[in-house]
This record gives sequence, C-alpha cells and structure tokens, in this order.
Amino acid sequence: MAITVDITEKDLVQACLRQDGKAQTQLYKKYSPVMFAICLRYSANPDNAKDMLQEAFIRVFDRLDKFRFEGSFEGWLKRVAVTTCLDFNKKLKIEPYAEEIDNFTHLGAEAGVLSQMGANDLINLLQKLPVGYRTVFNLFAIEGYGHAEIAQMLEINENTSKTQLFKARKMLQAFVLNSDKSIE
Amino acid sequence: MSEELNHIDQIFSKALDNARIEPPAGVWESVSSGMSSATAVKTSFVWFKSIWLWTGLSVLSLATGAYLYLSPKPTATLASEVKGGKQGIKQSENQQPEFYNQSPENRQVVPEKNSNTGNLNIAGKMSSLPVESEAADYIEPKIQHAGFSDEKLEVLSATKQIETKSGVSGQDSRQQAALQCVHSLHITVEALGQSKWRFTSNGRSESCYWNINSSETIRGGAQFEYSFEGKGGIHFVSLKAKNLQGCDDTARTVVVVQSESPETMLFIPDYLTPNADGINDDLKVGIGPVGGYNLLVFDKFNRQVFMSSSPETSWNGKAGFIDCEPGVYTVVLSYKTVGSANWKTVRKSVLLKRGEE
Repeated sequence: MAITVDITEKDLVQACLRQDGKAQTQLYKKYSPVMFAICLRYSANPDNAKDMLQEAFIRVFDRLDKFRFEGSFEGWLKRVAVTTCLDFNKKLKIEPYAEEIDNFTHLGAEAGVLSQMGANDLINLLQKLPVGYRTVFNLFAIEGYGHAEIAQMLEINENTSKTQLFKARKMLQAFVLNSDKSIE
Repeated sequence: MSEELNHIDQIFSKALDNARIEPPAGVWESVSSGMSSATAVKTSFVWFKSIWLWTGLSVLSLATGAYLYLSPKPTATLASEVKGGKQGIKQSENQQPEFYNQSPENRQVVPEKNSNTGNLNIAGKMSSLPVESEAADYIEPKIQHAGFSDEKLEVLSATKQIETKSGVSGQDSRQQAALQCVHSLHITVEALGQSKWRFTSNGRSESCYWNINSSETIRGGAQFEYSFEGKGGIHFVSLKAKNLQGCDDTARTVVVVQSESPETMLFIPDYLTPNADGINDDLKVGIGPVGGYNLLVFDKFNRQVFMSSSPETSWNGKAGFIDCEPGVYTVVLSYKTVGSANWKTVRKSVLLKRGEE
C-alpha cells in the first residue's frame, strides 16, 4: 500500500514538472487542505491565509524541480508553506517582535477547556495572537523547531524567541480564563 | 504551572499538526492563473525549439528520401524512417546545445528524460503518420504518461474538461471580480448586559447569516442580538453577508461570556505533589468570577490546616510552616456569585503525595 502511494506521488510530481495541467490540479486537490491548515495557523485571518496558500502553491510549482525525492514530499510541501507564511508576514510590515502585551492577572489556567476545542476553534485563538507570538508558538509547539533554529529563521535573538513563546502560551491561557481583557 | 503550559503546546500540536482544512474555492484558479504567465513563456520556448526539431527532421527526411530513392529495397522504409526520426531529434539537439543552457527549466521536455514513455508514443504513431507530425506530437508537453492508473487518468481528464470549458476569458473575468472584491466585512461587538451581546456588521443588511459556534445559523439583518444566557465561556460568532461592494464576504469574532455562576469554570485538582519541581506543587482552584471565596483544608482528624479567602492564594501542602503528612485531605470551598448573598459550598477529597512526581 505504502509503495503504491509513493509511486503515484512520484509520478504526480514528475507529471507536474512536465507542466501537465491535470496533474497540477490533482496535486493541488491532494495537498491543499494540509497546506491551508498551516496557512491558517500563521495568519491573522482567513483572507490572509487564502493569499498565503496561493503564494505557497505558486512557489511549490515554481520550485518543484528542486525536490529531489529524498524524504517525504508532504514534509517538503509543509516546509515551503511555512517559509511562505513567514515571508508573507514579513511583507505585511507589522512590527512583529516589539509588541508588549501586559497585565495578565489571574493565570491559573485550566487546560480542560482548550482540550475540548476543535482545530477550527484553536486556530481562531491562534489568529487572535499578535503575529510574533503566533509565529514563534507555531514554529516551536507545532513544527517542533528549537529556539536556536527559530531565532535564525526569524532573524531575532534567541531570548526573544523564548520570551515570545512564553507570552504566547500565557496569552492563550488568558484567552480561556481572563478573556474580558484580551479579547475585543 | 509549567505542566499546564506544556499541556497547551500538546493540545495545539495534537489538534493542528496534521490538520486538514479545505481551502475556499477560487484559490486554485488564482494559482493556475498566476502560473499561466510563467507557462506561457515556457510554451513559447517549446514552440521555438520545435522549429529547430522541424528543421532537423526535414533535413533528415530529405536525406532519407534521397536514400530511399537510391535504395533498391522498398521494404526497409518504415524502420529507417523511425531510426531517422530519432536521430533527427538527437542531432537537432546537438546542433543547439547553447539553447538548453539558456533555459534549463525547459529541460523536462528534453527527450532523454522522457525516453521511456515518449518512445512508446512515437513507436505507436510511427506506423501511420509521417515523420514531421510525429515530431510535433512528441514535443507537445501534455502527452499522457504511463504510470498513472486508468482511474486516475479519467479523474484527471474530467477536471481538465471542466477547465477547458470555462476557458481563458471566464478565468479572466473571475480574476477581475476577485480583484474588485476586497475583504472589508467586519463585526462590531457591543455588550448589552451580562450575557447579551449586540453584533453590528458594516456590510449590507440583506441576507446576513449569523452563525454561533459553527452550529446555530440565524438569518438576520446588519444588526444582530444574541443572548448567551447560562452559556458561560468562549463563543465564536461568524457572519456570511454581502459587504459594501456587494461581494460575498465573511467575518468572525469571538466573545467570552462571563458566567453568572462561577461553577461553570470550577475546578479542584485531585492531588498535589509539593516537591518544588513546578508541577502540581500547590492546589490551584480554578473558578469563575466570585463575589466571595473561602477555601478551607482539613486533615483526616478534621483539623484545619489551611484557609484562604482569595482564589489567587493556593494551598502548598503546609500547615503554617510545617509540611503536612501525605494522605487524604478534605477541601471545603465556599463561594458566592457576584452580587449575590447566598453562599454555596463544595467539598472534595484531595490526595497529598510526597516523594512522587
């Protein structure tokens, strides 16, 4: 089973490289839900996510010839999506890492509420975070990068990355409990 | 605290790591139209290249013609034509190596790479078609390739047909419409009371679909009021409506309804492990907004070991300065709702553990 999947994946990629329109549509249909979930996580709203997805796929088709069939194709796609999202947020010209959001009182959080939420609700909460918190939280908690790598990717200080992660978590907790202050 | 923080990471990573969410329609159209400018350049290269192949082939066909004319055996025709065709392609490439160097991205259509599938196609058509038209067929990059199962091909060709039906002009107009439609819909939230909210859309007032927590949809106007009576917690409100430009648009907002009864957020842990490792070191009671709060902890001999009158202060497993023995303790929590005079009481047994995680 696994082998057949591999073969079709490879064939699909090769067909796309030959500018086969059908294969390109197929590739989009197969992988766009995964990619869109990533874009939603990194974006402030679904419209930005849509733009990110579009840019990500244009980039995928543009760089498909650089994929060497080493390692998973889906992993490669995900990496392209993440870098596209990072670039997109950079272009939005928000001061991402200067924001300070203070005054979290009462942080005795109860994670039970969070664990009952579905993916869509969690994404909604993520989208409420400032872009810097959101980016670092995504890279650390979901993509599984270390602080050193994140610092390099975002061109920020390693300690900034740690602080942003800590604040992101605190804010997510605060959303659950102390929400009258943090949510409009 | 740190365990809860890590827990947040896990919750998100578990729910979102391999999440799949269908993107909205229309993205693929933008992607393919974004690519089409790039492919247009590429196809023109292919067309240009085909001229070289044609020249090469026609020279060769002339040569074969001459050979045939001179040859005494007419039976050798087909074989030599095939041979000639292939050589023609190779030769024309050899004549123009710098062309490939200029455009490496076009190398996918170079025959060596496609030789397995390409040759099959050529050989199949060779018997009936003259040499030149095969060459054109061969260069055409949208040859159907071996390796896909028949089923897949059917699916693929079906989608292709839809694409071609819609045509270039259709795609253009859609793209133009998309350009004019800028997301502008926005919801303004106004609290009308403890649990009643007013949502105001900045879009058109006809056919507004308000959705609460992805479950309940209500058709209404630009202004919409909803009461979350008795439903404390986080609520997601989304709106599907036409924005001021008349385009379909969506907007979302989150409201948090403070529960009138604090017990909707009430949580007393089952145990505590006061060993200063940062995990469950003290007994943190989670509770909503309260007008009064009293926490008492008793040991098994019914002696009071701790008391607190604020949710911020939690029991750390000590009676004054002395560490309590491990065992079962009874927690009695009294609280009252904001603005109310009635006290409510909750009892729970908790376990004090020492020497464990």
